[in-house]
Amino acid sequence: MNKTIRFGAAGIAMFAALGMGSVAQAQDSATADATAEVLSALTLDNDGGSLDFGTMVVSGGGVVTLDADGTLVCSDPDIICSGTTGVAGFTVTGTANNAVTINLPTGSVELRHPSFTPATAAEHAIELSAFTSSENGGSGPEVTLDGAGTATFDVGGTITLDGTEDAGQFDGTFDVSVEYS
Amino acid sequence: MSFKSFKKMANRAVNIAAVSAIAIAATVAVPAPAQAQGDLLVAPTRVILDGSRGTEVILSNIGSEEATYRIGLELRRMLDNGRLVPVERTDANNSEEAALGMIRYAPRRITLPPGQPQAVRLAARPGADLPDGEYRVHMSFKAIPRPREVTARDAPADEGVSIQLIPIYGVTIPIIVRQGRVEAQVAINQPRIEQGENGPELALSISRAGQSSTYGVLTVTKPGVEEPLLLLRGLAVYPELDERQVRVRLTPEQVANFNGQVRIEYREMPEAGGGLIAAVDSFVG
Repeated sequence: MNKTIRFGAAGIAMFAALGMGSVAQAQDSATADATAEVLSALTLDNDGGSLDFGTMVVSGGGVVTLDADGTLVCSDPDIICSGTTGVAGFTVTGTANNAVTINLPTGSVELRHPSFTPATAAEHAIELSAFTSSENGGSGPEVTLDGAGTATFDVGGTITLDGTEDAGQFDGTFDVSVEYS
Repeated sequence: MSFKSFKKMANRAVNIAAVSAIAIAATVAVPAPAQAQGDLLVAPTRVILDGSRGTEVILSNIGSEEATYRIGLELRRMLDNGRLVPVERTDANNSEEAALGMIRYAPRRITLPPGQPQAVRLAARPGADLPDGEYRVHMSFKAIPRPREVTARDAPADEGVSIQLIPIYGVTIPIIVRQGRVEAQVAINQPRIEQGENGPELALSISRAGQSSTYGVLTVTKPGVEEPLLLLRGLAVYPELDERQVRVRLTPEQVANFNGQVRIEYREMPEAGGGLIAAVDSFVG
């Protein structure tokens, strides 16, 4: 058991106590065991923040990949990468030795410049595709919780630039889902 | 190869699959402060509803900031490799549509300060003419990102393009409704050690027939060795599958222990009684 689970268990015990008025309360002796119903819990924490490609100076088309292990691949001559990069990191806690599916976007996600309009999509939108996970089972993102019931995984991706993007910050969101079976 | 059948009674009183009674120690450990907004705890990790009694799922904000969560029902199907893949509502089959239609739950949106739990109540209202069977949806708990604050970073950088990608993250847990008497016949087949992409793996397949899913623990034990060689919890085989493949990565030490005859057992979770679902004695090494 790890800290997060114990914390969660305490929160649940409180609820269980509220809902169970018929639990034996009348005990004559002075010693009473403190027992409560504890449900197995799962938690998901985002500990690495967002997926950050740093800053790029773009003078032509190309591809920039941020691997799930944090490696930045920025080899196109028309793109100069600088600044701090970071992958999105997650921690799952739950039942020890339990394998869970991770679902990442299978298609692409559009990142938009603050002055995006449909007419200026070429300059104001960037496609992010090929989301990757640092933890994979035989057939896709999957993570198996260790003996203490904890596992971590990181998410990376690939952006495709066409060289006409305006300077500025492009924003977007992507879904990460941890599926218990 | 052994072939065993087990039954699930419709009127079984256990509503929540993962319940255990343990004594709580007086000390409560406080988790390390998390930076992100939207971190969450969900308990229990799966729900089985039979009969009309409802139950509750606890959602707690374990992040360091207030967060709003959306609770929804989604469809998943299990592939034969055990992955749960999303299914659009427009692609739902009859059984999935029935499942979506019979689950009632509230609330659907919760705003919680840090450290605050809240219960989501849910119940199944199956129609009177619903055929016997097992119906399933997956309840998703997902934080809604707050509108982004405008920061200095938004000002166009000198010439650069920068990118901010916010993950919207959450979990799903299965909600299973058992209508009438459902059962499953399960067998473990072809346990073997294979060389996978990341090293040796124990590979086996679980065949399943009948209307019920199975859920439990897979253990590999060796006569005379107290500790199981391998333990995989939370192994589910859903009714959409006749056969599921299981692959578990092994350490070199584990592989070395797989010589000789081993016993592979698939049992229900200890909280659910720990009944044997299927077992096989085999030479795998």
